[in-house]
Amino acid sequence: MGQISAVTRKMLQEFIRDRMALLWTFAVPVFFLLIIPFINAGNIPAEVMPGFKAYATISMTTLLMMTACQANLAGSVASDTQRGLYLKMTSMPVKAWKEGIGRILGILIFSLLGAILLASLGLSYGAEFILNPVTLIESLVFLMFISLASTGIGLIIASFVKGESAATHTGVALTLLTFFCGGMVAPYAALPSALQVFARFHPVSSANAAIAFLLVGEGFAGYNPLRISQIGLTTAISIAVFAVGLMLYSKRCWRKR
Amino acid sequence: MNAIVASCLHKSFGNVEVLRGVDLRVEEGEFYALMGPNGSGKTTLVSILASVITPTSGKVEIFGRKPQEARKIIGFVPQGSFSSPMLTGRENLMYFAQLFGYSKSEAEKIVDELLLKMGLSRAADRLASNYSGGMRKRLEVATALFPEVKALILDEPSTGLDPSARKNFLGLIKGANRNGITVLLVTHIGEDAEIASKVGFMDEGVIIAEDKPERLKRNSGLEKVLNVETSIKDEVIANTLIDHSDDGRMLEKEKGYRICCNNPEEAIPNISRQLDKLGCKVLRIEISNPSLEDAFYRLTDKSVRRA
Repeated sequence: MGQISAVTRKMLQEFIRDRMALLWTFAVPVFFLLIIPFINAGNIPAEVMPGFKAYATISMTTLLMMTACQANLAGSVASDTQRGLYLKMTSMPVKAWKEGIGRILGILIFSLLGAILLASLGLSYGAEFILNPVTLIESLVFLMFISLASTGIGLIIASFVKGESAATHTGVALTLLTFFCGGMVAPYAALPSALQVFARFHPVSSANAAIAFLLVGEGFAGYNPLRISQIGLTTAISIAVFAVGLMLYSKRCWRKR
Repeated sequence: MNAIVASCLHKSFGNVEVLRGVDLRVEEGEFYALMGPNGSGKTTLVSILASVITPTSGKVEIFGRKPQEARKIIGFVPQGSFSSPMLTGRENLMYFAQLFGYSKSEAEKIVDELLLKMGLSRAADRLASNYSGGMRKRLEVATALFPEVKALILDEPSTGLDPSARKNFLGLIKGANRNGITVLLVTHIGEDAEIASKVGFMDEGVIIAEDKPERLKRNSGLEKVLNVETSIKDEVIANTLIDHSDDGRMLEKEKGYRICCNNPEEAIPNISRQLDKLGCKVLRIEISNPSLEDAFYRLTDKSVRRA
């Protein structure tokens, strides 16, 4: 446990002290959460607004988790690689799997803190969710799929892109691309058919739609992401992406030369 | 007892053979400095000893164990700055101590002792990003000096440090050695290697000579070296210096000119006259004892600072 907790603590300390990481991860989703309902106030009927704010809260939480796991995690691994930390750790009695788990736990706790912050902000801003124990637990499971898939993508980026800045920017670019093309900003129905397919296949956007379906209602998801085949697809792709990320991380960052 | 033994060590990366049969023996408690130019295989060799990379063939023993089984007794300081700039000195050491396997309470005690030993107690709670180069290096050496460690392997640790920080830093390494830690220091700076009890010269993947520093210099055949600093630095000046010294050979022309020659005292007036004719001012001219870098150059015709 000592090695895992040491790595987790280091990750959290580094993220919390990194102003740029905090800005990208927290400030940007908070800004959009506040501004999007405000901009759309004239177009959306008052009775729909609480649901719209709830949808914005879910989307921004997804954006935050994607940024943390895809950009911050990738940047952190790339920075440690660049500094020679993996060389140092390879010479020490460190178990690679423990270091990996510590790192993943660190990013998950960091993004979970952000998710709690955004949910609290959304609620105090007037967001109304359909809350009952079952939908809450189901939503948390889909949130876990978002984390798994994003962490996997973050680890894949970290395994191939050298340099902290390049890895972070690749993560941010992929996050924004997925966010805009995956139906998390524009309504699913407004997406071209090719992007609708992308939104259903991408585990993050389909899990985001599932959470919206559960906590806000069918109208905000745009399709039924809770069909067995869709849930199976989301689960399988999330786990596969995570497994590929983990495998590449252990092979490329911890490799014996 | 032998602390580090490498026998007939070979390492290839693709078609490039980096180590070509290295034999190295470092005794327990010894301070061994390995000198060589960039690309000579020093980093590859110490990376194998620290179990970071595996050899293509050959045998390595660290206190009688395989490198993978000796991770608890080897402290390795690789090149670069691996400590986290976003953590304080204390947090960095706590992180590495817990990675090393100590419990939180054990780690706290050990970290306090290490901070004191490295002279970092007062700066312990400052972020490492605010440390000077010398302090950062001391912090990183501390991550390799946990109580179980019996051998310290340092890969070019003084690169980038100013002379005062380097002296201070090397003093700490020497202190660790006096306390019984075996030290293997990789460097391309002759002055750093001077403090070792044994120096090995490495070139093109093999150790070409090893002995006590004084003996290496004596056996190189060099007696005195002429140091000349001039207002103009070009090939004409370099050739003039060689032509007007008795059997002169240029050892170094990067910072100033270092020439080994017979009877340097007699060469000085002649050289001064010739340089004056060329309109070149002599800023400094002096005779000094040969350095380890000069001895390396004499042996290999290569400057140890430049591959």
